[in-house]
Amino acid sequence: MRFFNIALSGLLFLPLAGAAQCTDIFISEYVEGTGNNKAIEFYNPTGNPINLAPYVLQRWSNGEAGSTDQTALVGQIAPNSTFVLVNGQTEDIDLGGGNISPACDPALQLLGNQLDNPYPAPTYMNGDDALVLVKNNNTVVDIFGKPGEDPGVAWTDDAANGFTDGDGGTWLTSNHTLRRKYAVTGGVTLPPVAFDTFLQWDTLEVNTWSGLGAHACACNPTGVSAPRVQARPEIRVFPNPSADASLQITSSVPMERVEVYTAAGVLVQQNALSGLSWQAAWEQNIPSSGVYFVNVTLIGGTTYSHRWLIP
Amino acid sequence: MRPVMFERHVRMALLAVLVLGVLPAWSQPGNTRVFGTVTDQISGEALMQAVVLNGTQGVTTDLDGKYELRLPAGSYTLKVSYVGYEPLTKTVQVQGTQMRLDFALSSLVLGEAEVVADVAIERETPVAFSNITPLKIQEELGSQPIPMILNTTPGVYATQAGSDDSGPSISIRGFKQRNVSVLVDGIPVNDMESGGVFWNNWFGLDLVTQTMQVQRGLGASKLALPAIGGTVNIITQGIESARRTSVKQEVGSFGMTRTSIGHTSGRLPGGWGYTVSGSFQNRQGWFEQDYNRSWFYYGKVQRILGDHTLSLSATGAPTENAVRSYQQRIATHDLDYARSLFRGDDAAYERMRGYSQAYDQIFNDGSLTQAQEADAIQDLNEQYGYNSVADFEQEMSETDFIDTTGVVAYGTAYNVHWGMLNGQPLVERINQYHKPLFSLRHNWRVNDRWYLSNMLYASYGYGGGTRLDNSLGAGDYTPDGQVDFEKFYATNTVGGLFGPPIDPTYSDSLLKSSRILRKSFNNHQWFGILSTFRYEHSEAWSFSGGVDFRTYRGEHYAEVYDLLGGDYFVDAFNKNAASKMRQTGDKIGFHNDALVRWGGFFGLAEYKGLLYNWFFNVSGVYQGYKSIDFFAPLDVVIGTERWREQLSYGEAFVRNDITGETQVVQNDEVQVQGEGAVVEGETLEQATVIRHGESGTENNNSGWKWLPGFTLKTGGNYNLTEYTNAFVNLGYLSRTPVFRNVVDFSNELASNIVNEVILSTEVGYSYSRYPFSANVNAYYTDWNNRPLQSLLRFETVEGDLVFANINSMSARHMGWEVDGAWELNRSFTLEGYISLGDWRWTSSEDSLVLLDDRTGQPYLDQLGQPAMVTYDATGVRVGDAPQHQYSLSLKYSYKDFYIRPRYTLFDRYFADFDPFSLNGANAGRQSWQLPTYGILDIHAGYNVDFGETNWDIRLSLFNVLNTIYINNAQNNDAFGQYYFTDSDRRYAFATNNFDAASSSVYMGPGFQSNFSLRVRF
Repeated sequence: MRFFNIALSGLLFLPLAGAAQCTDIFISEYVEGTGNNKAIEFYNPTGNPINLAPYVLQRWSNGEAGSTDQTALVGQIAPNSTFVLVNGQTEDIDLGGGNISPACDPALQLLGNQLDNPYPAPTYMNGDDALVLVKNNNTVVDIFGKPGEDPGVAWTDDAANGFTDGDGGTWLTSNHTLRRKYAVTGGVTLPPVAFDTFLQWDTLEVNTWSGLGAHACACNPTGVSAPRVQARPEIRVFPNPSADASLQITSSVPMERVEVYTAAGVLVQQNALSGLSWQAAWEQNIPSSGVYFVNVTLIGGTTYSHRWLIP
Repeated sequence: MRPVMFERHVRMALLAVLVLGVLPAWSQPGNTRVFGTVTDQISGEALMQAVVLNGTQGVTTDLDGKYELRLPAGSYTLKVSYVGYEPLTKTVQVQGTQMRLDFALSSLVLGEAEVVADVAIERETPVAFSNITPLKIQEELGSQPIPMILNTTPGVYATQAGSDDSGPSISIRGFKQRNVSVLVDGIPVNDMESGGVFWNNWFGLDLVTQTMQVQRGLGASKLALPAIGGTVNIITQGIESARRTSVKQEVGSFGMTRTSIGHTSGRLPGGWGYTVSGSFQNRQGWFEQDYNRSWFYYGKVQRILGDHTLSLSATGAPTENAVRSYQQRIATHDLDYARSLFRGDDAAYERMRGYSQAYDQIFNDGSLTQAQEADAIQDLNEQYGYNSVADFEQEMSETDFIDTTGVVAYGTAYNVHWGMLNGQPLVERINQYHKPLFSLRHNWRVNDRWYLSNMLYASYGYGGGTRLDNSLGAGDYTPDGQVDFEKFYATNTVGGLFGPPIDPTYSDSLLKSSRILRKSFNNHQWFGILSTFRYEHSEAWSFSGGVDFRTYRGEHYAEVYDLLGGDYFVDAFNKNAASKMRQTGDKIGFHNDALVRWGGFFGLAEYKGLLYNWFFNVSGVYQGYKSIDFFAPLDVVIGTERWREQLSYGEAFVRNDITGETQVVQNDEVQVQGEGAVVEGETLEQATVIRHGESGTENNNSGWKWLPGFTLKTGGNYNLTEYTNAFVNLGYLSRTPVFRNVVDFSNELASNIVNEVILSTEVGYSYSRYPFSANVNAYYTDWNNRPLQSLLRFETVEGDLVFANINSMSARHMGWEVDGAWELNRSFTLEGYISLGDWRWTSSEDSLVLLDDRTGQPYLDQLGQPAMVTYDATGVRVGDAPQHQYSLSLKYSYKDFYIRPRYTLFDRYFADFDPFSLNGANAGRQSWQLPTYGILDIHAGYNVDFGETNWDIRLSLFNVLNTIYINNAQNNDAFGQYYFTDSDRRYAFATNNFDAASSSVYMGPGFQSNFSLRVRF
């Protein structure tokens, strides 16, 4: 019962901790997907654009009572809009013993305003890591989780165990997307006695990222945030993996050429073209199984490289 | 007068007469010098004071079994005799200036070494082997750990900084330590769980080693041993005939001092005898903050009663040492060495460096958008003529290019596992262990035909290693590359952003530590019985066999070792504890027992003819595995029904006895009422209530899993001439898996477990005629179902971490070995070996379906299809040991002085790699090849005989040329870090490039010396 009482006091504590009302940015969505499909969305509840330069997102990993890694945010958030930080890993990394750290889903990365640093970085959180958003290195703007507590695999719904993974509770902060409740109008600035996910967050199914780029909040009762301006042209390379070596590319901006390289850098296909879509017509050797890079150069000369797999 | 004294007096008198009798012969010039050694045929032990007689004239052998005679040319009949041994008579034609004649006497009483320990005998046992005599250990081991001496034999690679935490390790014919059996006096000492051998626990054994024999391949042991690579057979000293004491003092590099003392009683009245030995070593090691403090004790009491020999022995080596377990990038160790690996001229290097620096700058420029970055890289590629960075990375792997610009080098002795705290260095990783081994033996020569041996042994292991919890990661280091203990200490005391680390969940005043040092224990209790009989049916035929029973309990847990400033640590892993607060000494993390039972039998039939002999060996084992978890929620058992992992602390299990429904509730939410219960306000008419810790609860356990294994071996030897013989052997092994491939860490039994299957054959030929001897042998070993270190771990579509067992891997190791010795003249002896291995993986999978090791059903991937892995390791060379090894030594002796330089060359050495990295474009790709390296050692010594005392002065110089070399490497090390002078800079290129830049390594030690003085009396 002791835990339960403490947890209760924690519940009372939390809304007070989030005392700032529509005055500063806070974390509005938390994507803890499979592999490295991870992202954090920030929301600007004010009526003014906010320059992100003073803001740093810290990860307090595995119960450590201090920041283990951090990323400085770059850019600015428009009023009542969002800013998305996405895991930046674009390659599978072999960790040995058959363990692979997979690339973040390119579709998720396309939704990002900023790609996070290589490992170790905040968007390598895996459910048992607290996040702390700090401004000017001295002011806590928002806290996710309970800093300094290792909950086990994740924070759970188990109030009797202080919402930790002590005894078979349901994991909430891992393998879920969490969305800040509409009523939340500011960040948590004091560490909670216990982290009760449901108090401020709604849980969505794993690998849900359709809601990134917009956030509904009581600070902006007239509507959801303005849709984010597409930072990158949308280029789709599919099917990927491709069992029969077929390849299609569509782009939201006209393409200038397509090149396909092996992982060793050997050019196996090159096409000059104009248009918004392209389908593979293999002029040279048809690729055998392996990892390829599809370089799409758009009108204007910008090249985007995509990893493409023939299993 | 006591018989022993009498015997000694008679012997002294005899000696005096003999020496006087021989003296005139010595002084005659032109005589032939006949010399050699007299040894025990089985053990190789030098027999001192054996008598070599020419008619009535003779000499006795010295402490090392050596004798020397001077005889005019002619024909002589020499008779060699020694108490307890069958006398040997040999007619020889003496001619020339000198002639070597060695005598190997066979014991009248069949020895333990032959019957129990299966020591191989020259010109008889059909396996490839090398003997290492105590003399060789004295001359060449120096202060090194005992397995290092094995580098002087073909096919064996021994390193001090092994690939694991436990110090030195060896591999034979490319098979790692767990595939090499180690026997001490016939007792198998490989770990019952992992198969490993922790050589640090055998410190000091060199003092009491009578003979050490390396049998390569399946070996001569009758037991069902996991000897794929080979067997190391160590026989300790018995009770010698004469009383002897020796004291030895060593000093060496890194402040090493070692003091050793040994005493053997000789044969005492009533058949008693004892041997005791002890040693203490203290040294700083060669890597930063390395140290080693080891003690050693050994005692053996023996009593011979007619046909019975009883002996009791105890040995152990309490040891404490620093551990270095993270490999580093080559450039982190040595910039010049990293630069020197480049294959190409300076201009080519500078060109690559130009690209590397430019690319690095773009990569590390945080102000560029992705599109700007892509543009800049494309421009750069065009400038250098690359299609993409992949072209450059390919060139890197072809040339072993490492860009050393801006890389911080910490030296070859760099060790990350220490840091400063409160002005004192604190070592993060320390191993402390003590594993005493006790044995009680009874050998009984029943009659001329029967021999029985029974042996009871017990091994108690206690100790473990420390490390940080959470473990070390990026961001935990100071700019000096050391562990930032000050930071952890500050976090645990004054705290950070939120002030002192006070967590009201636990305490309103005590400080909660978030980083601590923990110590992981790996204790064991191990008991064994080994019973062997031998029956000699006739001169030609003999049969032996027996049983090998073992029971083992390994206990694993971690403890809080150092709170690093705080007052307590929170650990939620123990579900059976009331509180989560932990103090120093409390168990944290995990606590489980691994139980292994082993029931083995073995049989051996031998035929020994005039010219040839032959054997057939069959052995079998039935091995049981069980795991018990003391931290998991308790199982509930009612009658024959079991519910697993039900009850944590403070919980109660309720079964509705009418419906059979069960539930788990908090303790205070259930009250027993008559035959029923009230649960959360609801009344059950008939119910069974079992509360946590009460009767009806049991620690979670896996139950027993039993697996059979067997070995079939056969072979024969043919003595072609007096000087030559040839042998062949063939074996088939079905080997039971290691513990962690049977039971996983959540106490679940794997379901798709199969044995490893090994097929091996070997042929050999030996020639031995003074002054030249040589052995050549060739082997072929097929290893199927080669296991991974543990179950394969990966993430499913649901995001769960799961384990799968992979059975299909295989490798083929073949090669040949030559070793020889040539006594050029009285002063010079040349020795050497060549071992050439061709060890390759032979397996690939284009679509291996991953099965849940519990259910045997496939895992599903993101698309709902069975999860698959692909890899292609076909033809890829096995890593982690040099495939080619050459050694040459030249010994110069003058009277009692010797000097022996030895040069050993290690070649075709490939980095250890992960077979699953070999897919896609990297299918079949060879791991990085380490630079070939050679090491020159010089050993010298002088023996002074003062009659009553005998002094040995020895000097060993290791790596005399101070060669910088890599002795261990990991291919594509994703965890290896580059330390840049600019702390924000990140490594720009692929870390799975199969090259020097993406490998992590241990560098070998530089020049070391060792000086010793031994006095025997």
